[in-house]
Amino acid sequence: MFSRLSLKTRNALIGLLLVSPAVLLFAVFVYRPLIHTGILSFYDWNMVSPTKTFIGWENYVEMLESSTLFKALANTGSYATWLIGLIILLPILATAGMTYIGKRTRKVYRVTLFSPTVVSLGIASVMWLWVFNPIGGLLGTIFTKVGLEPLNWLSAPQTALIAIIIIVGWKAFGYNLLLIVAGLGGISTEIIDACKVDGAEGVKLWIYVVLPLLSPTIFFIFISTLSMSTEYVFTPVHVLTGGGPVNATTNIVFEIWRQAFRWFRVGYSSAIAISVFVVFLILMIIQMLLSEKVVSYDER
Amino acid sequence: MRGEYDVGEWGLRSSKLTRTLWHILLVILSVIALVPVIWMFSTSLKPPQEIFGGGLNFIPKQPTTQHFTRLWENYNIIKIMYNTLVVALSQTFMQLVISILAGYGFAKYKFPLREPLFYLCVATMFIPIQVIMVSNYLMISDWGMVNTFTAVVLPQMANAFGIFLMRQHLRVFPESLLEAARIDGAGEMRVVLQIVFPAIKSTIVALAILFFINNWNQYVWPSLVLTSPESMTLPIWLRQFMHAEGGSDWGMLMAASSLGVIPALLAYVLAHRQIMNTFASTGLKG
Repeated sequence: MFSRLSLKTRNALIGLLLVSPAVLLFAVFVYRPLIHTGILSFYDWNMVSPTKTFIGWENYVEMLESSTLFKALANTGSYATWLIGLIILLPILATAGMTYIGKRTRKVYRVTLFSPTVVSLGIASVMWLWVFNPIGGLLGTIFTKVGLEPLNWLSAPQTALIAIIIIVGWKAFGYNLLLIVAGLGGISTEIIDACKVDGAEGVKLWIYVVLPLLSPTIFFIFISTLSMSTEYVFTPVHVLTGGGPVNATTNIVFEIWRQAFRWFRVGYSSAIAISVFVVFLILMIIQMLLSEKVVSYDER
Repeated sequence: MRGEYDVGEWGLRSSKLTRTLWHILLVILSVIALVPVIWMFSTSLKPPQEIFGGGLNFIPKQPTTQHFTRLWENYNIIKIMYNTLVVALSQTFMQLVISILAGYGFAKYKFPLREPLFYLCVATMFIPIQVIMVSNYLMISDWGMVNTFTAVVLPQMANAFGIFLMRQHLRVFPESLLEAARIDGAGEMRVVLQIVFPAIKSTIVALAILFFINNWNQYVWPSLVLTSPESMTLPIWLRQFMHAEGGSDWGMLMAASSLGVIPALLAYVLAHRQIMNTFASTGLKG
């Protein structure tokens, strides 16, 4: 059908045709809702009423003054801190250990540690709820056996957040571990051999040679973890706690859902969503800029 | 691409003590990774009195399939599994087709706005679904599509990661092979199907497995658009069942959870090498 056109025009048309499904879908289901959410954030609307009231920046002002949102923000900070430790630093440590271990055993560890990654986070939440259960649950039974009072993890504000973090850590640990394994595998043996000749071994080798060489991987892990973090802090909270007890597990991502689908405050929810998007964008840009400055690339 | 992802063979020396300490750390982590899943399977096969009996036995003393039978008879679990499978398969198929087409277009054709369009596609990776889900829900609901499979699949058919991966792979695809086929008079469709497709088959298979596991497991978006039990996928149904009536029926909850975990775990056991390679090769080579 394009045979009468010049080769260049013909190729351009075929190219556009090939990418058009993807481009159109993203336009309709990602960029349209992004703009729509931006517009909605200036309105007061309960999702069902036919009229929306324009209220300017009021949703954003309310957000800044809301104690629930402050709590959500503080919780988000706790989630982030714990998860950086559990699913970024701990996998680095575990992978470091793997380099000192024989090939076969190493493979068993790797396959085992990665396996939780393929379990649905929604199902993992229910599975862990049973592990946490004070009566008959695994942890409850162990606690009773050693003479401790079994904890009711998810009903107490002090422990609910920790419980959610354990669930996410369990699910996400293996994925980052594998990325680090791949990153370490990319470091050439010659460099390590040269260091050994120079007498750098043990902690020194790791801090001065391996970690700097690993920095592209570590930056990649920060970015990919950040992009998956919204699901990490949403799903277990949605499945298990609904944000409670007394807002102990809520976070800014979950508040988007809660304000819209629990309290039917679409405008307010949209304002939170846009704020999350802006913060997300800033964090991404900072990471990209940092990775250009700090990361050292060896020539491979 | 290397055959298998592994840390380098560095021949690092360490004392017996430090090696033992590393083993202890890795064994503890492995136990944490496996035990909850084993505990789930084990509970699903225990009769109620044994579940609450306070024992730590992982092998049921009187194994029973009563929870699975009840799920089947009273809750139509087959339909739930069928929903999950149909959604996961169709979503995987559409994601693959669109990723290959767009990846091929971006890699091998020159057209106006190619770079900006590509970056707009890839940038969607960094727009969290929670930011846009309320607006998308409103639209799907306006279209009267709530509780349909289309509602789940349609907004998620284009996948930034898939497009990116395909483009990276096809960019290095030798132009001469394509030209030779075109000179022989092959149409574009035939070039794609007979030359490009077979050459990148292993990447496509790996991507398909990855998509399938993610789609089988997906939670956030289906939880909004699937609200009637007949249309629900397993993770969504599980939450609904837990909050509605099964709150403390752990035998039933763990039986249903097991059914949700088994297909993904099976895929992993059968193709763990390929899956780990796909996961690990995400963007590091870009």
